[in-house]
Amino acid sequence: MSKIEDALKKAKANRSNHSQVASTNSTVDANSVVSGTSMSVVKKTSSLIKLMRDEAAADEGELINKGIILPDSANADVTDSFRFLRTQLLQKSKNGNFIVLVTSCVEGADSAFVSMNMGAAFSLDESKTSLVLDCDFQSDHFEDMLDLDYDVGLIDFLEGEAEIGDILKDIGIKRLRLIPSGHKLHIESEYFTTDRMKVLLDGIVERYQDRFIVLNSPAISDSVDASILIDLVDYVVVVAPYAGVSIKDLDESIKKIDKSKLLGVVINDIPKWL
Amino acid sequence: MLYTSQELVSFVLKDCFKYRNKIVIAFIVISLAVLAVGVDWPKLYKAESLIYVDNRNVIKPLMQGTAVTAESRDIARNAKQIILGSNILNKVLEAGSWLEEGPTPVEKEYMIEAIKKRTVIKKEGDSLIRVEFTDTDPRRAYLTTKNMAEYFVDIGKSNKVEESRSAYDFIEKQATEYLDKLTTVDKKIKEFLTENPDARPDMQEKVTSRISALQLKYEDTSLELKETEIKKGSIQKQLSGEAAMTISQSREGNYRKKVTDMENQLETLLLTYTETYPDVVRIRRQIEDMTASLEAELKARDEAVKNAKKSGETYLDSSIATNPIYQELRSSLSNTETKIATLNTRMIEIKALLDAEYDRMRRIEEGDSMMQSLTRDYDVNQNIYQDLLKRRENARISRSLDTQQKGSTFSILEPAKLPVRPFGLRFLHFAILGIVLGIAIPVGIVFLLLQFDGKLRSPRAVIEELGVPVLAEVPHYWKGNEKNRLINNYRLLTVLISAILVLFAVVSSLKFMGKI
Repeated sequence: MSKIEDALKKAKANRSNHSQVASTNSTVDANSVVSGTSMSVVKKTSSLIKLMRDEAAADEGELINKGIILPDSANADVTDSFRFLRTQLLQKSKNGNFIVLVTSCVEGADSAFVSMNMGAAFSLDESKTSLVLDCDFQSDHFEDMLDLDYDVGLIDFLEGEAEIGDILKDIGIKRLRLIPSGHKLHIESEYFTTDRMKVLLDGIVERYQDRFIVLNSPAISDSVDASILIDLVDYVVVVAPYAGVSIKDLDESIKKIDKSKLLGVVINDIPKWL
Repeated sequence: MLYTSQELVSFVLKDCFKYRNKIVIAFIVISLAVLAVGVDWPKLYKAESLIYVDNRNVIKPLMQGTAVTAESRDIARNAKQIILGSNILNKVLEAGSWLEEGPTPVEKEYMIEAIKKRTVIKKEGDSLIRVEFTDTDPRRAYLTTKNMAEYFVDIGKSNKVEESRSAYDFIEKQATEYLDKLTTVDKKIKEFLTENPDARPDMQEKVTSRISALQLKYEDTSLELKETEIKKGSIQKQLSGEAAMTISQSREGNYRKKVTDMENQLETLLLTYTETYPDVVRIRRQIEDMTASLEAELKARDEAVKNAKKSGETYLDSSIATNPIYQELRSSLSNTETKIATLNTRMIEIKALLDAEYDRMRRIEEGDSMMQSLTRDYDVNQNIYQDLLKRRENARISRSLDTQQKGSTFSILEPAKLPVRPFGLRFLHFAILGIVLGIAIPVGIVFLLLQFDGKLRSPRAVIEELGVPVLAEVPHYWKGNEKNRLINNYRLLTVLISAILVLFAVVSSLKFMGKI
């Protein structure tokens, strides 16, 4: 790709970023009626959106290295498949926003890749924004994928040690925000049963009608976290690696999920010759 | 879950991609291994010969219908034993180029074993035998096969001559035996006929006709006898005492008539004369006399009858006896009696003759059954003997046919030829096989693993077996320069495969030029 084209693209990206932030601000203003408990959260969120505006869009090559889809790239087929996935989810939700949990049926199904790109797919649409929460406190897949190095994250928020403004991150993708899991040194179980998690999610959903929330959860086969998280979300998507799980194991994983919330299976990482 | 063929192809291709490096390594190893075997594989030459063998033995057709013979040695069936017997193999070793290096007896044994292993003897149809021999040396293959076939045919021919000779001898012996038997039976018949003249075949008829003639005569005689006896009875009746009485009563009547007449005369005289008239007196006297005579007569007759009754004889008045008719009757009676006696004698004689003939008849019948059994023996033996004579002539001809080797019972239809081209697997086959196996084995393993690992590949399986929709099928994402690395990997693999193909080409051409 020539330098001129690069420059053009960057300029275009900057423009759309600014307009998106502007629209988000207007939405925040319009919906200033909030219940008592979620008040502080919303305050933190709005303060964070200012931060978002300051971040520069990430370099295309960087995104490719991290495995994040782009509107048009060498991995157009992957992008198309996520677009297709997005369309399906929107059809299911009748175009309203929702919280979707992405879990893998076995360890190594790479739900981080799917959840991250699902968020990216929503944010490809200029009228939508997305928020990706890494709720996988048991592995570093998400961090490894995005090469993240944040000290503060969801854990800190749930423990009350951090405010939402501290944990909401921009990794250079337009209309997409990320909440990392945070440090995993002192993990105590059942963070997700606390009110803070529910307040966080409800607050975001109620305030931003065009924001889609994607939760990356640990594999359902070896974590109770996934089961707890399912109660908090609207939909569940199960990631199955191609040729990496037996039908029987997949069946067992699926049985743990509430049928009304289960949207379906995403077969991931199908090999291709080129 | 059964995959459709389209799915299967797609899955196999994906797995092949996954294991591409291993597959290429397996391809290199397998194809090189097969190539190495091919380089080292010996060239084999096969020579073959087709032998015609008349499977039938000689004695069977010759004796057909007469006797059931035991199965004679079936040379075709035993062809393998004969050809691979030490007899022929030793000759083959000597005549072929086997003993050029002067092997020890142990080495010779090994050679014989090797020949046995490399020889194939097949029966083709009913009467063809194919001998095949394989060797690395085409000339030796040719010589060995040729010699095997020739020695086998020689042995077969001499066996055949021997067989037909013994067949002839056998038939000849049988013929002689039957001739002896025939002569013996003939002699027995002659002796029997001498001893029993009645046993001639036409005697029975003669005796039968004679018996019937005698019987006829006997019946005639007995009829005649009966007639004569009746005749005698009637003559006797005529001559009986009642007849004599009649005659005697007639004389008495005469007296009574005379008395009556004289009484009538007296009465007439008395009408005219008195008692004292002489004539009356005379007549009275005469009447008295006459009455006295009558009484005397009556008395005499009663006495005679009484006497006659006593003695059983017919009372005959002297007057009667002198009667000519009576005389004639008497002689007729005597004649009849004589005739009766004659007839009786004849009856007895005829009866004796009949008995003799019956006796003879019995003897003839007894002799007949004996004769019949003798004749039967004779006939049977004669039939067999004549049959054997015919067969002996056939056997003689077939013996001379075999002796002069004119009968085509053993011959080499296709003589062994010097093989020009090696047979079996050649280097080219190995080269092709190496490449084919190099691809087929790893891909086959991938295919089998795919069939049995039970992993999720097909979205159809999720939908059909779990009833859960598949939202998306996400292809692999090339991160960073992953794609470039893949292209480099492809390049490397292509170079490796090309190198192998070049190696194949070089080795093939070297092999073709005969340098290895």
